[in-house]
Amino acid sequence: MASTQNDLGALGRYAGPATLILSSLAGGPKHGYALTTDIEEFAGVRLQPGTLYGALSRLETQGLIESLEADGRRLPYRLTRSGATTLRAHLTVQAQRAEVGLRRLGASPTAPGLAIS
Amino acid sequence: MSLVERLYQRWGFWRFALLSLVFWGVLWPVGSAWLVVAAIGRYRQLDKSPAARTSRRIDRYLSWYPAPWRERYGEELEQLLRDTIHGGHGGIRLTLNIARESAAARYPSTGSTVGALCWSLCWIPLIPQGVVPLVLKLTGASTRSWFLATYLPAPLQWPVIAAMVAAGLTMLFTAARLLPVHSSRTACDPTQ
Repeated sequence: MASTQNDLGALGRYAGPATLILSSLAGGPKHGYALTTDIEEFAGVRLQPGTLYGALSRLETQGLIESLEADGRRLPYRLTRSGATTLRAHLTVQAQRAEVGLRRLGASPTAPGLAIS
Repeated sequence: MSLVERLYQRWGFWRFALLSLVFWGVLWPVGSAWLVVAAIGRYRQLDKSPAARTSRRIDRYLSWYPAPWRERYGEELEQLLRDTIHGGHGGIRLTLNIARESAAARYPSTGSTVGALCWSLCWIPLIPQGVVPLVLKLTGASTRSWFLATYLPAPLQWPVIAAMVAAGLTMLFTAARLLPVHSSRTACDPTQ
């Protein structure tokens, strides 16, 4: 599938972290450390600080997130309308791909680790 | 004729021997010892508490990012780094991650990476393999050291020197074209 301007694929190696960040922000505004812990909780992945801010700066440039008023030294971010639309489209495509993969795995008797009764 | 041989001829044996003795016996060890003592003194003056160590480490990490990027994200990243280190995740992976991401912030595109490589490497063909052998040839010095051109047959020496200077200058101009101009705020937008 070709990348459009708002496609997260256009972020290159930051597409994975960006998906996690947008998914986390879909649950409400968060600052850097809250994002890291939330992502670790729901995805089992700990984003390193450099990667997190590399992705945040790119997402902010694309207008997918925006910063709120600072809370001390921490600056919370929230999803923009455009960010929510992009995330929804991205996750829908991912879900369709996952569904096809899982269906094929389920239908194949040779799939490793799957017992077809 | 090397510099040492010239000095020997100019000063004569006794004067050369005396000055060599002063240099190697006094100036060199005293200077080295002074540098070591100064370094130890500076180290002793440092605050070695864990908080101060962490602050120095974070300052070092942040210094790897370009200034405009630090202005926008530095304070937040500093807080996150502090939280991360206090949370027990401040190992070598953190250092490597910051090194990689700060380089990506400094040179965000392939062109900039090529520019950075050209800027880093252009000095090798330009200075030690170009300008220095050029000066050696012009002054008639017999030193060969590791200058490629001086090991080649005479007819090839000038073309190789010219090629090295040309390669170095080409890389330098390429770097100048590709790298962002840091005095320009727009050319160094941290979010680009």
